[in-house]
Amino acid sequence: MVPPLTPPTTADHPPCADYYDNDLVGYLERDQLEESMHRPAPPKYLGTRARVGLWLLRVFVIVISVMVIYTFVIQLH
Amino acid sequence: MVDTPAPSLSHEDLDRADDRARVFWARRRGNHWMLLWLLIGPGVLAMIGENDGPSMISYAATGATYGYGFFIPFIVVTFIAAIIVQEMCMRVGAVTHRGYGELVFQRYGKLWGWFNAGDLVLTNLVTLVAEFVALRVGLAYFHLGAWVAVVLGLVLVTFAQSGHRYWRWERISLGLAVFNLLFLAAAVLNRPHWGAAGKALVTFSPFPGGSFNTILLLLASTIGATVTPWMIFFQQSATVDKGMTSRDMRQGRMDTAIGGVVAAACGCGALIAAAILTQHGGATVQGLTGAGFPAAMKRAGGAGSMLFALGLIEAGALALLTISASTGYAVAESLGVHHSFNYSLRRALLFYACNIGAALVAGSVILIPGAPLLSIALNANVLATVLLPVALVFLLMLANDRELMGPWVNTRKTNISAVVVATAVAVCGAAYGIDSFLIGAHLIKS
Repeated sequence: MVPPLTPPTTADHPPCADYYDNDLVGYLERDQLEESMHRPAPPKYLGTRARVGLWLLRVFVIVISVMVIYTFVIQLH
Repeated sequence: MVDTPAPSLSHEDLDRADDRARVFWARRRGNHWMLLWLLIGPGVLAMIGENDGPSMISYAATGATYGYGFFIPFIVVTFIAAIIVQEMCMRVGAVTHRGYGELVFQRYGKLWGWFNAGDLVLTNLVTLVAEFVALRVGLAYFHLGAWVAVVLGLVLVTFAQSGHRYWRWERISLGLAVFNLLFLAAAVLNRPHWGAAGKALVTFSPFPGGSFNTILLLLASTIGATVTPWMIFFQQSATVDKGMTSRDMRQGRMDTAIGGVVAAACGCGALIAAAILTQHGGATVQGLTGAGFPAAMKRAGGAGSMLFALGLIEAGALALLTISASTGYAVAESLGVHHSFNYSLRRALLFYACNIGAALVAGSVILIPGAPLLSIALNANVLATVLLPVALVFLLMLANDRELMGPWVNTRKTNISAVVVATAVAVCGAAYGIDSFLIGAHLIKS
């Protein structure tokens, strides 16, 4: 059961001043609101070394997956 | 002073705020037990959800074949690895309020996002088939057939999400998760040799014999039974859906650790329960055809056989909920559409459709006469192990992204532990994949 609601004001949960009109929403952090959650995080630039590393890992995983799937098919026969 | 325009509030905002209000008041009153009760969920569900049908059958197969030995402590070690990985998921979700799938898309681009989502959907579909198989094996003990397993599974998935509230879905799943303890009860009722089990736990011995390839398969499938891509997607998205924040970090870590400890205990329980079969042809038991292990235990005089069968039903049912949810989260996050159990069916149609659709596709596979269910189930965990390193690397990148995480980035100790886990998983998966391929292609002898 939720106690009677008032906007939280203690130091451990600062209120969202803009949202006082709606008590309940004061319990959410600003970026937990649906509107904010649908705003994409900014893209991050990956350096050449990072990209090469990720591609090598991707190729490695695909090769091993093909081997496992091949084994699976062989087992079926 | 300029007034900031009030945001338009959705129904989802209000639902989540309602959950957060309870957390706020529990914290303010210093009611730590209530706080834990309110915040427990994603970690326990990820960990116990991974004690799923194929995992428990895999543990039981190991116990029935080798008895007490290396794999009891190895299960514990793999769950420690799972706790390291899942704590990062919880932390990234609580700080960024974004799921793993959408963060990879937004930060690193569509290509890597789709690769990750594709890996997940592939392994999830295969694993979901194995969950239906586990349900079928458990129900077969009570003389119920494949159709019952499929209908039961689909009804459960639909019912759990029908309330359009994350809280309700989570509590139904947690209620089911409690029954994972049946594996421990089955172990006790089967009267194991506790001294031998304890000695194995401490000494990591005896090490199993047999071919190198079999050992690799067991290692890979045991790792795949504890750390998997779906857990990463699921826990981070569920943490966001639950509305956890950086203030809840302590409880989030406790949630993950409690889940890991209970899941490790229940996993060891399944192995110990099946160890009764070592003297009764345990190595030849086909756990996925007929009634499998529960029936074999009954023949061997194990009083815990019925509990083991019920445990398999629970393991399959809970994993159906969590794995189908992770599929829904991943697909909807990748496409940038609504993805929360707090949304109505109309607003998050794709999310709910993926949830039920994944279960429906998997369920129909087990109805195909002569489908290679045993092979599918055994390879589900191995495939998860093979595809896991990529997901782990991106998780590590996100958890070290200071722009996203601020002061909550990984510590040096966490990074070292996570790199060790990722390397061990990659080496193990690759060793099995290469060895099996060479044997299958008759390039080396088995």
